[in-house]
Amino acid sequence: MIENKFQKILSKTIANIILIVVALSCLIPFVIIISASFTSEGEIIKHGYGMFPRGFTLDAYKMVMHSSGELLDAYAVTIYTTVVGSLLSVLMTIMAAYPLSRKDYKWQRIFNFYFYFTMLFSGGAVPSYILISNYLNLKNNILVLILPLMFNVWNTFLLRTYFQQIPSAMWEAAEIDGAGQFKILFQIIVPMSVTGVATILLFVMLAYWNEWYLCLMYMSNEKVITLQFYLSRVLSEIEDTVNNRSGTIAMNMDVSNLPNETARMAMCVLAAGPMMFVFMFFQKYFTKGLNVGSVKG
Amino acid sequence: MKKFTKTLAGILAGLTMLSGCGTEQATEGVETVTWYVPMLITGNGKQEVLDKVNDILETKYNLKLDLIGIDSGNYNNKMQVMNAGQEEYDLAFTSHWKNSYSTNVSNGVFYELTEEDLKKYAPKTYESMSDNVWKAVKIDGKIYAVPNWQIQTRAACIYTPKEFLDETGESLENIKTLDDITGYLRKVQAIHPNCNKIKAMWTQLMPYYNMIEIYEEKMPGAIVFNKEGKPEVINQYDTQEFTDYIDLRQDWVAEGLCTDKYLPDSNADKKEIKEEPIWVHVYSPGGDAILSQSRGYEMVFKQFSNAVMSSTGVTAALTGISATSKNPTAALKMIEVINTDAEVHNLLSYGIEGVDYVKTSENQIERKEEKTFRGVDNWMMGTIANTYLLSNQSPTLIEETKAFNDEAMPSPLLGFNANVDNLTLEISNCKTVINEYLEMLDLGLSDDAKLAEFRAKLDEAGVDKIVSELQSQIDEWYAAQ
Repeated sequence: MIENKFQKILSKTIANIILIVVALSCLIPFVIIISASFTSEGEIIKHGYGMFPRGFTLDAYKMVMHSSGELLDAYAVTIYTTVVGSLLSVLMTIMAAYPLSRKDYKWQRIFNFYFYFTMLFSGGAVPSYILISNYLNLKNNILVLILPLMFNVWNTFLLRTYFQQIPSAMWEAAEIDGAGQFKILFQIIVPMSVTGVATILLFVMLAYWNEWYLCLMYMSNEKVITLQFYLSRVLSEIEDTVNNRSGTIAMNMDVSNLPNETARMAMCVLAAGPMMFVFMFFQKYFTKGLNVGSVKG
Repeated sequence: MKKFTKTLAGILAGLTMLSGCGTEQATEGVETVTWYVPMLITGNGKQEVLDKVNDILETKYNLKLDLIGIDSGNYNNKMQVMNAGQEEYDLAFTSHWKNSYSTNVSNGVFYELTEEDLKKYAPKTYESMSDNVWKAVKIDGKIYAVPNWQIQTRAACIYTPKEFLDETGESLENIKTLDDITGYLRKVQAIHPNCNKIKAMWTQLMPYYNMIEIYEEKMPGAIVFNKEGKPEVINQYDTQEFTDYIDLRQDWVAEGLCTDKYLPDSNADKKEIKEEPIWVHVYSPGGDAILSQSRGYEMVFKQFSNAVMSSTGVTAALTGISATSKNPTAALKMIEVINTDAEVHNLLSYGIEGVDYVKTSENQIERKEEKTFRGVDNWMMGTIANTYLLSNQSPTLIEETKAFNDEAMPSPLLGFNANVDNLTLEISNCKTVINEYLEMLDLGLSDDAKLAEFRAKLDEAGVDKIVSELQSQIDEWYAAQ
């Protein structure tokens, strides 16, 4: 008995220690980034990064904010595309997943395959570009940041699996009571799969929030760029300067106005911050969602 | 249900509102030229500057410029997709290191520029550059882009604080080889024992070893000339020269001439001598003045290798006219305007006088701290000869650059532009290896075993294929001459 108890405590302790270590190794980089963004540049050069800001300063944030009303514009664009895009996207996904989940739907198999096929084969970058810019004429139109991401087959299949778990008796009963398909979907099926819908919502929100490629390809209007594109631009500009222009040209370059290390950290905080906040609210759905999806998917 | 419909309607209304972008109005007879450059153009004053440029262009030349700056890291990606998608535009920055000139030409991305066209629409630009420069941009005997005139020549150079020379009694005249530099470092060592004295990089020393880069200075594949004067492609990392250089760097570290640690100079009581005061780099006219100012103590310099003008020196900055352009003559005229109209070029590079910079002399300016416009570097769109110089640059920089370019020995391979399309896999493999090893080797911080490992990994990455492919391209080109 005693031995048993001891073993239990021991295994629990070990498990906890491992989890603590894992948790810390996830947490510490964030803390370091946040602390670095508040540290003065000189301190970082002298002492390196630390868990707590030495010589607390807001200079990096001032620099990132000051140098650009662009940052605020970028925030506005990203928030707009994220909110509008993810709502529309979830709506589309729900409406596509529902018929696919109904075994009594005549074309179910055909449409399943039709969707699945696009997961295996896609048009590729250049045809997509030609389609969007030449035929749909979406260049420099904010819709281009929303439409291409609006439908995701993987998400649809995930949601389909959720819907399939709902006993068929539920919608059969509703149908007998005279409910239309829309009513069944939005008043019975969706409320019963909140977890699944929330998971999808989180996925698409992340996708919209992190979007920069569409912006690179189709947006030449500097006023309408997404946050991640704004940041990736600044970062790639720095990296490129360091790596590529080492030769003849380097000496003629004015590198004085490139943002420095702490500014990069500040940008990192600005980019990830809001999403981390959102994540906290979604987490309870998210973990549940992952489990169900993986077992049944 | 109603509530839901309302929300949806609201969202859609918002969408249409934001998507209604204004259409541009074109004035009769004015030709708009779209120009892509790998540099962000930012600042609150951006619109004002571009409006001013367009005012001048419209009244003087009947042209309009639509300048689009893509951040340099994403530029390749964007241009590739645009070119493949046959997107319509007029001008784009191209070079051997960004938006690859030879790849684009082999894909038919650019218009061929005949001498007649150049003489007719861009006569001053055409005349301003020597035959060698034009020869360097030719592919199969045809010109596909206009060079932006800048330093087109490479030579190795040593920059050193003048104070060190005075203290050691050394004269720059005596420094002709790397061994001389070692001797000089030892003398400096006797006076400043604890500072990290020198910064040098293999890639900048290639002119010293008479190696000519072919497509990218770091990447394997360089040209040397054998005893019969025939060009031979080598893997520069597998040569006696590279071994010697790495040995030398290790010796420097062993002797304490160069370390990886930050060591404050205990003997520099007069002024704080920064880390790595001596710098082996490429020669840049007026470089001593720039360094003196940025470092706060007097720097002097001396070129210690031959100056060679190779194709890559010229193809480092070019402007090509897209084959999708509806109006290539207007595009060519636009190039001529940038190269001849100092007012336009200065506006694009530096912004508006009094707002973004102040003049310190006839042809020199100082940028304001709080400038509202960050423009295009002056070598990116046209000649550097007609823009202002910065106040820390030598006032005679243009003359010095011209002399340096003119005096340089033109490489016998001028006009050879390698095409590395078939080598993408090998090149990216080699890049990974080089990024992993070269810096440590370059700092003298690894041993011979590491060097052997580096070479073995390069072999694995397919360096032989790169060398033999380039060799066959060169042989073919050479035979055609």
